Amino acid sequence: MSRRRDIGTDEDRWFRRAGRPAAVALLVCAVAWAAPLLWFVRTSLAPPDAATTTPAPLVFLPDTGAYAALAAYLPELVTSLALALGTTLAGVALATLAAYALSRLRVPFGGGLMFGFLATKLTPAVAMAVPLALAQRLLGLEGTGLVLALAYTGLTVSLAVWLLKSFLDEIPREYEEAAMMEGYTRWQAFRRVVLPRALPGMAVTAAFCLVFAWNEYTLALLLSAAPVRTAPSLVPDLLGAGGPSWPVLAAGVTVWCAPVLLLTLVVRRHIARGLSFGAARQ
Amino acid sequence: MRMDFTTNPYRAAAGALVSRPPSIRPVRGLSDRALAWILLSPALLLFAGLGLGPLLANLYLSLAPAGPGTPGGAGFDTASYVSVFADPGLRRAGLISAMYLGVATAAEVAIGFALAWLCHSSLRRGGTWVVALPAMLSPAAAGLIWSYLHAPEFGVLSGLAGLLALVDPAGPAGSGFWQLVLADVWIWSPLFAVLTLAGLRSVSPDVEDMADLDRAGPWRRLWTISVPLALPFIGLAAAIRLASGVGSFALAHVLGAGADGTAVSLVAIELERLAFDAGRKDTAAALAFVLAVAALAATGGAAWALRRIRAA
Repeated sequence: MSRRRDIGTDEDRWFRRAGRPAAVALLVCAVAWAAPLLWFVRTSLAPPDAATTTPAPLVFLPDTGAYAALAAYLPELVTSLALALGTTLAGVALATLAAYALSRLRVPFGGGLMFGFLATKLTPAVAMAVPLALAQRLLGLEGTGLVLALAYTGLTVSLAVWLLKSFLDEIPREYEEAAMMEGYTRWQAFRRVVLPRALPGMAVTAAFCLVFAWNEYTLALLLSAAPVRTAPSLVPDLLGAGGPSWPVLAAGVTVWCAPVLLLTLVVRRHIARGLSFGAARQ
Repeated sequence: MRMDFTTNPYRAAAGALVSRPPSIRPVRGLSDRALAWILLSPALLLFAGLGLGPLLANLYLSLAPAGPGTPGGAGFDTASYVSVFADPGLRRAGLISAMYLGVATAAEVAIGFALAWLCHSSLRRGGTWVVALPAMLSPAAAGLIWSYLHAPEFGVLSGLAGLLALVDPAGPAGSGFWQLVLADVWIWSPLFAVLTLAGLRSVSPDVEDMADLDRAGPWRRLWTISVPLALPFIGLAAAIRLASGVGSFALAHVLGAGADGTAVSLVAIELERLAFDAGRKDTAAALAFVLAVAALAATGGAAWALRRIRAA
């Protein structure tokens, strides 16, 4: 119902009374919440001496030298991007098949499987890294990125199955039942009837999986090794070697966070669903 | 008997929704159950490799009598578990982790609820993504941001904290502990805010109408309608937070690297040191198994909350 139409209800009167102070308070909170990130973006544009002086100058001539310095880390950024995109595509594809089976077909211990996927996603990455690092060394796969790619794909599938199942559950079963009465097999009904209607949900799921794979730090640090290193695994080196160059780090974080912010904007209507494994349908 | 296309609603829907390609012939052979297992098998393989595999590998590594793969080793040895629970350093790390999780989660519930209530009161729909932004950022990026803010020489917050004497660096957990809590609250409060808001918005208009008829004020509505109905959502956020927080590593690691190279001694940080620096694989595997079991317990809570939300 539009706001204009229900303007006379008790709820709306209360809303008008409480809404304005609440909106102001919310604005203050949003600015306070964004301030650390904005301050770091400001640092990325500050000349090197202005980034570490106190009191910090607010007005200065912007210096984009820090962004130019990021060119040295381009191979790691490309590796991160390739890994995130590849594992997202593979993960969402595999998860779509699994989610369809769990949503529509009778699967023994389906509830247990869903719990298993949830548990896999929530298992501490550092606990997972110990045997994975050992296996990587025993199999001679260090520096290939293969174990990291498999780990990301597995974790992506675990998240995507939950999200996609919630989207598939919303597509009426009658559509594919009607198609099957027309002579389609189950697989054809899935491909031609369900899949096209699941595409928006798959896109939202892919966005969340991409953000996860792009952001992941623990496994990247503990499993990736030269020559295949991802950008997050460079962070301790950059912080430790002879004191950090804060403008370069700030530029790196800004570049790192920009796609995440963009994707957040794209999926803004589904954030609650994404963060709640598909439970909240806001 | 052939059914009439115009009177059968399913067939009518089929006619409207799908255009039947002329070449398609019904293919029989695969039962639904067989198809289900075929569709599930790639995901199941990954689950076995990444969910069950590491758990069982940690169990094996922690119980192997004289090191993993030793020929002739028989039975199992629980010495690594004894050292996990008896080691004073690990016990201290467990205490600090519990304090960190408790303080941070309590603050996040309170702040998240306040933010959600503000959004619920001031925004009819949309707009909440601004509040949710930090929840989407990488903990490593957040760690870098907060390292800069807490830098001893020029950090905005370190100067402020020193000015107000907020933090006692010689205290039991040190100033790094509170820096960690602050950064954690910044990242995770939005999760609580977004999920609590989803709970608040899930309240049926009928319930609101009944409250109107009873002339219930905003305060009474909050405590008798909104909070009880939002509880499963808050519980879900808390369970997700606890499951993730049990093995919280990235934020503490980056904050530690940005300070003096010493991260706050959380259990996950100690686990990484044991496994990758000290080479004590058996103790590290035992600790990893204990962490995974703790996370599994929290996952059980999350699964319960998910069921409640879906059933509502």
